[in-house]
Amino acid sequence: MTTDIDISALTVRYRDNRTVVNGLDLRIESGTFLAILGPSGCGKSTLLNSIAGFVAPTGGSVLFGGAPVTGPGRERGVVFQRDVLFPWASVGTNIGFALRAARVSRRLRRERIEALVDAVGLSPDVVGRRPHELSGGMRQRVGIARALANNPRVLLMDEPFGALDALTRQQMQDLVVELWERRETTIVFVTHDVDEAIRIASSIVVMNDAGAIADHITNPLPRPRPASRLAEFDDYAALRRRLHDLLRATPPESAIIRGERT
Amino acid sequence: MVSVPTRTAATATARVPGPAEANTGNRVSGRKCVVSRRVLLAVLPIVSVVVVLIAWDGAVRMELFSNRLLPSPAEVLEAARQMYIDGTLPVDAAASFRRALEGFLLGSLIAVVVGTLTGRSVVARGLFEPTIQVIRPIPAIALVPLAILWFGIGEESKLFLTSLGVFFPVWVNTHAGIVGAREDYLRVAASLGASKLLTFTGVVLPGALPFILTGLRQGIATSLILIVASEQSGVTEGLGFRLDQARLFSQPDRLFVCLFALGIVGALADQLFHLATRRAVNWSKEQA
Repeated sequence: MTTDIDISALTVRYRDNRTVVNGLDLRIESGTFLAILGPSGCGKSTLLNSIAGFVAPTGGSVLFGGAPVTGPGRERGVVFQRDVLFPWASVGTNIGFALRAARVSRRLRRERIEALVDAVGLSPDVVGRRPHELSGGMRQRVGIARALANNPRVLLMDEPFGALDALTRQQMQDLVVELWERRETTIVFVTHDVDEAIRIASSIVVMNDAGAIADHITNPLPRPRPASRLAEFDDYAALRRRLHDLLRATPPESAIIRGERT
Repeated sequence: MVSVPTRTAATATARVPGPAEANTGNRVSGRKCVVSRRVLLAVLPIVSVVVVLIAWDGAVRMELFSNRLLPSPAEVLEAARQMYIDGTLPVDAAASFRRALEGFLLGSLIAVVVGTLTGRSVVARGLFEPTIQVIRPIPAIALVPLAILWFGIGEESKLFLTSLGVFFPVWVNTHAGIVGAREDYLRVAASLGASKLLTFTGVVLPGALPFILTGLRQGIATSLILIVASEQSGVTEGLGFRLDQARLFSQPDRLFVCLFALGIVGALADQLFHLATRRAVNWSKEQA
């Protein structure tokens, strides 16, 4: 199995001297569905932004396909925390923007947009609609379609379903798993929800408040993992307890000394 | 024997409208409410104009002001009719509109280009912004003598003055809109591998459009203000020229006609611009 992302001794320090990611090592094999789990403010999103190329490392390195990440690129698709669809453009134009960026011809664009809309479980009539006419779940589906438009090798998802209701969230989790199985894309999924991580990921990394990795666990649960029957799996309770213990072991936010985190 | 009302009778006496009926009732009263609100909104401007006209006419009849200072609405209307028949009003209005339009187009074109440059490039900002900020507080009307000195009393000085006045509000708004491009939208574009040109045309420019259009609307008003000031000399047609003539020959009725014509031309230009561009920026209202 090839390595998609190779992170060694990654340190990210912000201008106010806060160290958010601290000497982190992580290797993500091709085709993995990795969930990065951790409490708020532990540096999950910063780690994801470093892989995406939005944040430059202060120390260490991030390699993608063996080459250092120097900035964003279309081989690493990103789905953001909030759906950041362009509000002035229709769904079709939003997805089409990704295809225009990849210089796909106008004729092919139309076909690809329809296929992508179908792939994320939306009906073809949404193509002409504007983002404000869609529900939160539908907008996030469009965001995923746009991120997938150029067939990225890696899909980076930053707590994409945090703002959705429970039922929509489950449907979106099913969609992402289905896309991962069908497309064999590597997915790095940031979440602070233990059950979400257990349900969707093949591998779970827990980050601690020091901005480092507390543990890396291979998910033993077989697929499919329906939300309503998650508790019936043999290993579920033990895995959930272990993840909660790891999260609880991280020091509370108030104990963090401003500046260097130790 | 106790008579127990049948279920049918009980239902008939205590009949509660079903949800469908209730909805219909609500819909009808809701529609009535919308219609009456629309009627009210259409009538209010007419009422306000009528009230002003009555008050104005009353003030003239009660001789609160001298007739040489304030003519009656009927006298103004008659002067307008005369000016329309002898051709001065349409010719003056067209001349002023043409000059304002030329100044508006030139000034706003330069402002959008410079605003885009200062909004996107640190070098351009360093190069242009200090000069612009120094000139900006100078009232454009104060530059009339300089415009005449540089360009003479012909059309060139009017074009210079109007376009300079239009430049500043359009530049400020364009610059603010371009600088304020949302970071998350730019990140989306970057992660999709969009070129600088596509990022600009597909993300930065549409996002800044509401700001740019606000600046252009301000520019329309500015161009009309300045055209009146600049038409006070060196021309023989235009509403500014005609205003000055009415002042010189003590013709308050003609003066009022010119003022109303300016107001109407300005309001028409503003509303036409708003109507033509509102679809392009509807999204910003929907988002709010």
